[in-house]
Amino acid sequence: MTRRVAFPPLGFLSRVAETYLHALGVETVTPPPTSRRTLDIGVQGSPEMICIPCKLLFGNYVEAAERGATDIVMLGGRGTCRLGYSVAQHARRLQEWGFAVRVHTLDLYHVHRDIFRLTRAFADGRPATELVEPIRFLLALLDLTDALETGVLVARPRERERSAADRAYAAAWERIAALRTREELEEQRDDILGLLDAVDLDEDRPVLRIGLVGDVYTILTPFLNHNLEVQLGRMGVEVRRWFRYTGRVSLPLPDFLRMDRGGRARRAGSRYLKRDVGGFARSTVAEAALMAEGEVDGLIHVAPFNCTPETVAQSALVALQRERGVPVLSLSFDEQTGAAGVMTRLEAFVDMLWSARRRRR
Amino acid sequence: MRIGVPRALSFYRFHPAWAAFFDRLGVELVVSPPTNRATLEAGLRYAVAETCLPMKLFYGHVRALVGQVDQLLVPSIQRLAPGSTNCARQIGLPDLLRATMPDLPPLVAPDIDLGQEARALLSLVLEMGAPFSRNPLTLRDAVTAAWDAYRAARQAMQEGRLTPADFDRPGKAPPWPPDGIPVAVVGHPYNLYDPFINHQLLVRLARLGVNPLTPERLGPQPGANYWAFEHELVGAARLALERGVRGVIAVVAFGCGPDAVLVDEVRQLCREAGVPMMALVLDEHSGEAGLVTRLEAFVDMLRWRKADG
Repeated sequence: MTRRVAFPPLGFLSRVAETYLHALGVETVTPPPTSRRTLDIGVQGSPEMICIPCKLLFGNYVEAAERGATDIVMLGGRGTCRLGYSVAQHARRLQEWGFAVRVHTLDLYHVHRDIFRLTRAFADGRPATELVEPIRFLLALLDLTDALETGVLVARPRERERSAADRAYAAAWERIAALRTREELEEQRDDILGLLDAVDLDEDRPVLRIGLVGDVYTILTPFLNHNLEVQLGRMGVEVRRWFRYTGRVSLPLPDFLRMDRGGRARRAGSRYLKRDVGGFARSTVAEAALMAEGEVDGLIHVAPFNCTPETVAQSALVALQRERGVPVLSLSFDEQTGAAGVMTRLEAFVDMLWSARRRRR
Repeated sequence: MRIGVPRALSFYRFHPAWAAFFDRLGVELVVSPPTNRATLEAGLRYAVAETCLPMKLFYGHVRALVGQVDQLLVPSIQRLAPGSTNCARQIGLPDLLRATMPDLPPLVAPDIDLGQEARALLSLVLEMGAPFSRNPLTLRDAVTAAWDAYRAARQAMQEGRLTPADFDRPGKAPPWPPDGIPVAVVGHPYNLYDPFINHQLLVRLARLGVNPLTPERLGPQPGANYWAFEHELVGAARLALERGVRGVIAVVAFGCGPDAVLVDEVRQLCREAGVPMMALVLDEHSGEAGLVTRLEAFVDMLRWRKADG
């Protein structure tokens, strides 16, 4: 039986993963986007008190298996909060529910190592030398999508015609999904990014800049965050996501020698959260501290309700707000969070940032 | 020099070791008073709303010490064994505290990582003891004393002579009814032995004629592989089931990350063994009456089961 690999829906990351797997010559299964149904399945198969990403991911895995996936890439890794632990539980429950799937863990603490490990596993005995080119393709792909993700976040608040940026973004993704080699990518790179550049923008429109920090799963799942990024864009906010691929890969140097953004962030954040407490907490606080140095008007911290590492980050951000005077809005999401409540808080926060900016002038 | 110890979290596990260690260095330890309503109220002023009740009480205990002591002992407990980890809040405890309260005395905040090599542990001890003694022999003596005291306390707890609630006033005998119904009560020591947090759960159980077998009484549990402390709890449940307990009560705090997962494992174990299991979830809103009703119902049910079979 041929291998059919599924990656859980996770915004642009799952699209990158699929394009990469296609380039490797691996068949993939695309699970449906996270929905109410995903949640119902996830709730059925999860401990009652676990966080919502763990529930939703289980639902994603089941939906992938229903569509015929034979191999599922699960996100986890030792020390990365409850997600790391839940991989074993998810795998066991999938077996109990009668899905015969192989499970592969992508360790979020060792992403580079695991990309290589999974590549070897899916390449079925091809020599490592043949895998260099696909991996270089993957790196180029990440670089390209990074530019695209940033581009759409910048374009959204400035577009003259509503949703024009999102249409261009979708068109760009269609082109990216068809890419198979690095040569193709380099040839088409300017064209693809050009789709977004062609959107008619009002460059003089004043926009707010808000840094979006917190749990990556929450940021990349519109079902969970009630389409936060798009809503903010329509309110005239340029969103800066804390995680970006570019500028994060560094030589294994101690923090004080690192000149890249990751290193500077680590130094800025160590005052508020020095220890690694799992999840994305330390990186979140680090990026928030760097962005608070005049890069943004305010920060929005998103987390799943009761996320253990992110509650630690939340406390650190309270200190950041107190010491640096940067406004922070903390939003936590679970299955009970209503869209209207989120919108009201976003609007109030945006209004407050506008009046703060006017006062500064 | 007076060092304050909040009566919360790792106090209920490691206090005998700290007490012996600082005693040898001639430092006075001041433990905050037992939890009461004011502790909780003080804690709620500082904690973020979403955190767990034990953390909120921890903040409250810190408030009881601020102004009374020269320094505060707030260890960051990172790993108990190689390949394990700990709850995010306990790892980040000193950072959390500094971020939350601007008016703190200096912290004694060692990173306790027992998964490291012996050399790293040695440098930890030297670094932590440096403000109190420069003499490595004194420090070695203090560490030996700490280790001995810790083991002696574990032994005394296993034999039922001591509970973590009495770490700072040993000699008080716990009220276990020896011929009561054996029921495993698994949970973190800070949830089991703080009578405020659990509405005197252990005393109530004893009064209902239950012999509550806590992880401390069951003795050392095998293998920690992800969350060291929580795996001990699952191990304790397993051990208790092997010894033929008639019921299992899991005590967890609402919002505890690791417990949310592991209570499910305990439930699974009990289902396989055919033993009744009840999960008590603690938060600052849990009422005493509700708890008493559930306990009585559970114990009645255990008695009927016995009468039937």
